Amino acid sequence: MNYAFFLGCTVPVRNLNYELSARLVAETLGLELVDLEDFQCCGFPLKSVHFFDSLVIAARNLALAEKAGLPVCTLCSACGGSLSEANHLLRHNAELRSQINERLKEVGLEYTGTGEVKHFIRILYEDLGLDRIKEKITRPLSGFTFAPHYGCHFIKPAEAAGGIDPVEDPKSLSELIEVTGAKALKYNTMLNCCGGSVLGAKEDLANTLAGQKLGEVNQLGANGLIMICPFCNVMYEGQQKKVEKKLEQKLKVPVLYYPQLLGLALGAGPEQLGFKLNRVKDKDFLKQFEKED
Amino acid sequence: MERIDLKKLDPEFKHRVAGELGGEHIKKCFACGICSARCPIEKIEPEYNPRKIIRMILLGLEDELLKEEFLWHCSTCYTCQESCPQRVNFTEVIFALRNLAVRKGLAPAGMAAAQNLLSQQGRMYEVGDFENEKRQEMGLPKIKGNPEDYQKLLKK
Amino acid sequence: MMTLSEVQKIPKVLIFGNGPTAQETAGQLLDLGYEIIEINPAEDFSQDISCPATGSSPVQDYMEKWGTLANNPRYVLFNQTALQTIEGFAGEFQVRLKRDQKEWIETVGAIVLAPELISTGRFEDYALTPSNQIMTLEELNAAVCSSGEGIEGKAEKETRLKGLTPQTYVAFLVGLKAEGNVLDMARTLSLAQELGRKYQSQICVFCRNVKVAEEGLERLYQACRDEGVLFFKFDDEGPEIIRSGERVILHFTDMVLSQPFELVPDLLVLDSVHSLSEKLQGLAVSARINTDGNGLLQPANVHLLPQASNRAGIFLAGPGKGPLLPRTGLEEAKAAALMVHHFFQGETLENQQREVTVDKGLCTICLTCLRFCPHQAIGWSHRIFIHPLACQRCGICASECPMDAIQIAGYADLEVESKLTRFRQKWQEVETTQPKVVIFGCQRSAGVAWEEVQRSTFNVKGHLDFISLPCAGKLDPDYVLKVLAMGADGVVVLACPEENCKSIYGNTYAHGRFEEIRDYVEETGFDPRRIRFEYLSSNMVWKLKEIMEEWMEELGGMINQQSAA
Repeated sequence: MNYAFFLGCTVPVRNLNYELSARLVAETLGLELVDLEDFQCCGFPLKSVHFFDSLVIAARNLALAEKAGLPVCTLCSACGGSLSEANHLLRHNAELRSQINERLKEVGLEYTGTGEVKHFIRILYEDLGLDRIKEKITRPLSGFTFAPHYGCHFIKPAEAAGGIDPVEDPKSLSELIEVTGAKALKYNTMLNCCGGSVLGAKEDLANTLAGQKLGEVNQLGANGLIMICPFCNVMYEGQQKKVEKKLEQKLKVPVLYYPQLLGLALGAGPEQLGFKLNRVKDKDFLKQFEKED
Repeated sequence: MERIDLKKLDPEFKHRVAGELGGEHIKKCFACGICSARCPIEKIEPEYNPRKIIRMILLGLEDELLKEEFLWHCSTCYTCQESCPQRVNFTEVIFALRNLAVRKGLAPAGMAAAQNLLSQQGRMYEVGDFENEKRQEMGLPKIKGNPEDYQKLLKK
Repeated sequence: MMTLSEVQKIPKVLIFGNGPTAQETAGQLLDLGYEIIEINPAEDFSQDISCPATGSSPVQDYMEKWGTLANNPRYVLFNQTALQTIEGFAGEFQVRLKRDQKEWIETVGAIVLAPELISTGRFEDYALTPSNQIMTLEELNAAVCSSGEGIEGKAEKETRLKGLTPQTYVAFLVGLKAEGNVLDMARTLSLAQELGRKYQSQICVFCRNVKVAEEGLERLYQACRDEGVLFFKFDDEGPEIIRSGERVILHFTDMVLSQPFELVPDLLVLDSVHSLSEKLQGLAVSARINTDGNGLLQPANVHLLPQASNRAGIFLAGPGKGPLLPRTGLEEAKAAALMVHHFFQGETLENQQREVTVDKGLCTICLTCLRFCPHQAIGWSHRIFIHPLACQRCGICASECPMDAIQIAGYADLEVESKLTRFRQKWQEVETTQPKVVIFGCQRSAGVAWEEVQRSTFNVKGHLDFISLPCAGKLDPDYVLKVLAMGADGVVVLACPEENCKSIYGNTYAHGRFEEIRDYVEETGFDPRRIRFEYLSSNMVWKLKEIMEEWMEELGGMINQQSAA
């Protein structure tokens, strides 16, 4: 199972823990993540400014993957959303596709629509499957409960995301948490948006959104909130202190990426999984997994 | 509220929005209101109301709408889009409206920054020697960073 | 008295109407082998001139066929003829007709009323008078549709549209002053689309509900929106209309934005008022054919199939019941023909096997029964005559008759009385701390609910008996008083919900009579809380149980208190 590894802009610079743990998990489970050095921004930040241009650069990335003959694996949900939406749109709109290809000629590329885009989590769930993962679990995380945060661009719009999970009642991330032996929390604000897209325009509004989930998860006392997107991470981890002030209540919600959780269950240590870079973590919890050597 | 003369508004505006990428289905709306009912932003900030935004487009309230700050408050959660019985694709309508606002010079200051960064370096965050060193320390491969294509593709 | 099998049905059908529905009904019934007399009040048959979107082409397809009707020896047509009166009953009606000064009677077995409606612009409701700026839907239809060649005044109407440009606004007011209908909406939508395409004007439709319950209309509505037509919907009467000299100004608040707007339309189009001809309205009254609140044929009662009237043997088809699209009228014509055919083939109601008798010794020919009959099934010459095919055995006449001269087999007064006597005997043998209640219920609603309750578990707090009536209208005030006199502690009367009575107003009469009974009961010293009237439909089993369990428990408390006092 080979994939063109699409890191996007944020992960390789600001969320090395996500990248590190993902690579480790992939290696352990037999997924080969191939780095295409010409991958650049997926186009998501450009949509609001110039939709057409954002499609051009999305298509460029897709064309590179097509050339390499590999499906794309994304870590960031915004990248996943941007690329899969572009893929879906251009596959079905011949006129738009030819306009895009006119522009891509300038850089010697062509988009044909023969490629696939899948989020890392989707690859684990669909392509690998829970059984294959279960085989490799050496240290079940029984007794712990984690709250999944699906986020918005992982499963919506359903058409572009390939209908991986019913939008109103998704299961994939929850089942992936449970395959580690931990319990996956089902809670009222589970499907809430993190507010990341509004952070730049109106921070207070974004913090209110993030606060809705942090407040509930804090109250329910889960061992952690599970991320699959760096934008969401910015809101729940990076903004947690500010949200604390806004809600006027103490928040202790450890935030970690799914591959970090899975990595622990696969037998890796916190150091290997980049936990050093996690800003809100449960040190006591992690102590149990520290390796002697 | 002051009474508006309907004839002073621009009936072509809705067709212009429909001609924008993302706005194609704007005229399918029959104002059921499910988008506003489910919008998480509307709950916090009632001035941001998808159904009303669509209505403003259809009636031709172009200037009033494009200068609104709340156009930039949509969190692109796609809930409206998933719920709409007519497939208006409202999240994409917001993108279309934002594009129009940018063209008219009405976008908030930080938004155009994305365009500059991408057309110069092809990435939102620069990856220089410092960043690559940090990566190497953690056993991660270097990022090449190839801005040339983006400089070609995104020239203004 | 005549029995059901003795009823003669003359295989001749009279069809009244001036449009496509009447024509098609005639054609269908001729194919089924009947003799047809077609009566057209007008000089010629009206031609449908709706725009293609509303389906005029099906009508055009049929017109060739209708041209051949005259060749059929079983068919006769009288133009410019008025239908004066209808006498007689199902199977043998005497219809009085008038043409020029000549009057004559035709005897037929069944009648189909298939009139077209008279549509006039709704000027009065909007407090407007005709002007250059204002057109009615009909006028606009004539001006715009190409199929209207030869329409009188088409050229003149077209010139009024010459002022329309891409800068002008056209406003349609439809379904605002009265509940809208499909015909006006279909015309509005297709005209909005036509005008938009032809002149590129901005079209605005002001309405309450967009009535699209007909084939193709939802699609047309969508197409209008796609092409830029604006819809303003209201939950009140819509825009305020202000006259300023020759100009009409609209003031309204958009319901989505809560924003007040003003519009001076370059062309204002009004919807229409649709009504039956005055002559036909008069006929409906004299022949006791029920109409609805708008004066159109057939009241809004779920028990009446679309082609049925309240009178056996008289059928309805087409827009006489309410504005329809032309092609729907054609469908109704086929349905009406089939219903007429089944009528002649001997289809009757199940309870029409029951015998109805009038005791001529008791009858004083006061004609109360005739006046009360919802189905116009009673006539008289030297004695009262109840027609076995027209009568639907509701029993309203029997309960209203001041002499109790009318009896229906199975529900006769003596039969009810003997049931009550049996109850009394039973009650004398049981202990009396728990209440004894009799329920009188309409067989169609309460009867069904009662059977359902029998099949489930219930916990009745006392002794309960049920007497089924063919209709709540059969409830004689005497019954209630007799039951109480026999020693019952409580009486419940259950009727079908309002506007849901198969005998049109049996339930209403029952309620009215019940209120009178309550007064008697109080006068005679009984606690009026011991009797109860409810509207109950066959699926309201929960309510019946509530009466049986909760109310009876209260009743038990009431009687024990009284005996203790």
